[in-house]
Amino acid sequence: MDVKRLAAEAVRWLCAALVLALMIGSMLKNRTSSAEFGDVRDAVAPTVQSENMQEADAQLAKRLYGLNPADYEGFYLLAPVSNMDAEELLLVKLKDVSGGEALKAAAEARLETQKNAFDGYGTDQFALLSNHASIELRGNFFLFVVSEHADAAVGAFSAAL
Amino acid sequence: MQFNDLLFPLVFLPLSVLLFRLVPAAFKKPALVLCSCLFIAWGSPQDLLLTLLSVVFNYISARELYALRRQGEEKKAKAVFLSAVIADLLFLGYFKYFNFVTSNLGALFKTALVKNTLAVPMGISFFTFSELSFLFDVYRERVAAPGKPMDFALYVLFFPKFGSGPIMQYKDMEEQLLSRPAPRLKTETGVRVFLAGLFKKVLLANTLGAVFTPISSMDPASMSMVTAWIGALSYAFMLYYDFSGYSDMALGIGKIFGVDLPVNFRYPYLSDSVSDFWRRWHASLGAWFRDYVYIPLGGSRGGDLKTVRNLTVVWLLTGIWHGANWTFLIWGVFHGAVIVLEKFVLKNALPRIPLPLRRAGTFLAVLAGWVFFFSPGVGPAFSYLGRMVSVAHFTDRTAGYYLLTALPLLIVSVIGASPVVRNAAVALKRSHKKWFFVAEAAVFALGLGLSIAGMLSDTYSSFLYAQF
Repeated sequence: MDVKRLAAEAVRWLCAALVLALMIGSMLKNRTSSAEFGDVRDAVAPTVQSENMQEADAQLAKRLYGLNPADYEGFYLLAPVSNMDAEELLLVKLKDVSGGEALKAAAEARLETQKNAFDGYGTDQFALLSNHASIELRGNFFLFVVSEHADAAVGAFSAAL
Repeated sequence: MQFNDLLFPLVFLPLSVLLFRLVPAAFKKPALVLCSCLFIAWGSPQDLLLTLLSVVFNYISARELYALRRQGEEKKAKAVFLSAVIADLLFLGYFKYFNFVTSNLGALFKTALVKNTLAVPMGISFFTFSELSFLFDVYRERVAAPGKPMDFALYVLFFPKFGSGPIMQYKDMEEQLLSRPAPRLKTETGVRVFLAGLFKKVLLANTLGAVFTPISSMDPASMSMVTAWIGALSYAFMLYYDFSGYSDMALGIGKIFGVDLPVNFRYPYLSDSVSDFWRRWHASLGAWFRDYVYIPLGGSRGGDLKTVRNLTVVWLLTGIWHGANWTFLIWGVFHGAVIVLEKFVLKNALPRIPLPLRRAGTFLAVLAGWVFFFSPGVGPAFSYLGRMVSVAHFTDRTAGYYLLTALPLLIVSVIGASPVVRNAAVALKRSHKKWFFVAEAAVFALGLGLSIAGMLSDTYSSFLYAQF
């Protein structure tokens, strides 16, 4: 085998090894949780209890996030009661963890839309969206929360997984 | 980035076209590769990293096996070819099927197995198929030589087709863009086709999605027959306008850069058999399986039993290609079974059935298949199909509401899925040449305005086929 071919073989398998390393690294980093969706919801929802939020149906989930609740193992959305409210909570258990990034993108887009809506108009709401919003993707569970008690929600979320 | 993100038509595409036009001929390919890399990395830089590693791996593999074949080292060439194909299939399999396999094994052995948490790279099913076809073509000497690294990179990464196809063969791309000093740009036609695709996606597919989503989240057991039909029809047309809209946009952008991508859709809901449907629906995928699976397996040569075996393999793979779920597998097998039936049992009877009946029968078969496609599981799919034939639960108030709101949209969808609009436009162009262009420009301007409004109001609406 000449040197040129040997180098080509080395680069070829180096590429394959890098992909393999990424796969194994990710599996070790993000382990999935076997927690029941209902248990996680019951742990997280009370931490942000507010009269400014109400449980949303599939149609509202589609309108606000472009998501279909039927695509997930568990889906719980507390949406603002009125246009002047900014508190919100979205808790999802994924069937397929590879869909996590799409969820994150949808939540980031929603946060951006809300910020744009309140920027220069609703000072308190804008501050809430800027300082008290959290997006957490932990394996097969996802949490998006906008609340004064967002830290407590994230804590309860972590503990419940 | 997706074609229907506002950033794409308003910023990314115009800047890419400008760059492509301004740079000297020698830099046009690198410019397109650069734009494609940006397009891929926009949503996730990790996608670009994984894709580039795959591109380098496959290019070197192709170069090696080409050199080995020229030296007459057949065994070594075969080893390189097989190792590359296996590596590509493992790469695709890990991202698409690993979790399906581990969750089924986990359920079987009542234990939680490790799962893949890396996001599925954008366009993985499409670009690995392009790379596999390239390896096959080099190995079978259908491609003269693997070409330069930049040519191969452009073939795989070319952003109009990267996300969801159409799947193109290397020789077609080579003839049009790679070996030509100056590509033949078709900007005007390209813009028209792109806009038509955008209208299909934003104005029709997304609106049909607003009908389908609430129905899909209902329990089929509590649904009336009419609601079930409206849901299934909405999905059938949503999927058509979503994917054919994407394909039109890809075709249009391809033309702007001087590449005629293969046509993926030819009025599929007018097919008169399921075999015909697959020549009209996602035609580039059907052609790929024909060229790289069915024919190498022997095709229809070698007797009826072998033909049935080859068709079964192709349709199992077609089902699995769409996703790791038993529903896709059943959907693929169902289509395969109908095609086998058409080929062997109904061969003589089908031509004697009047065309409208053949079309209606084909549409019903395809519609039944779509129920598996959109259902979250096999049980709900059968339950949904049961409701579609449950005369005892014919209608209710919900059905009345959906019928009133969705019927006009479904009528428009049916008309749009036939050549009626196109034929009317051609006739008008002939008879009223003077004002046709003004009217056409007004229609496009109105469509564009409505589409931008639609994109602004929808927070996030990805293409359905992007998930495959």
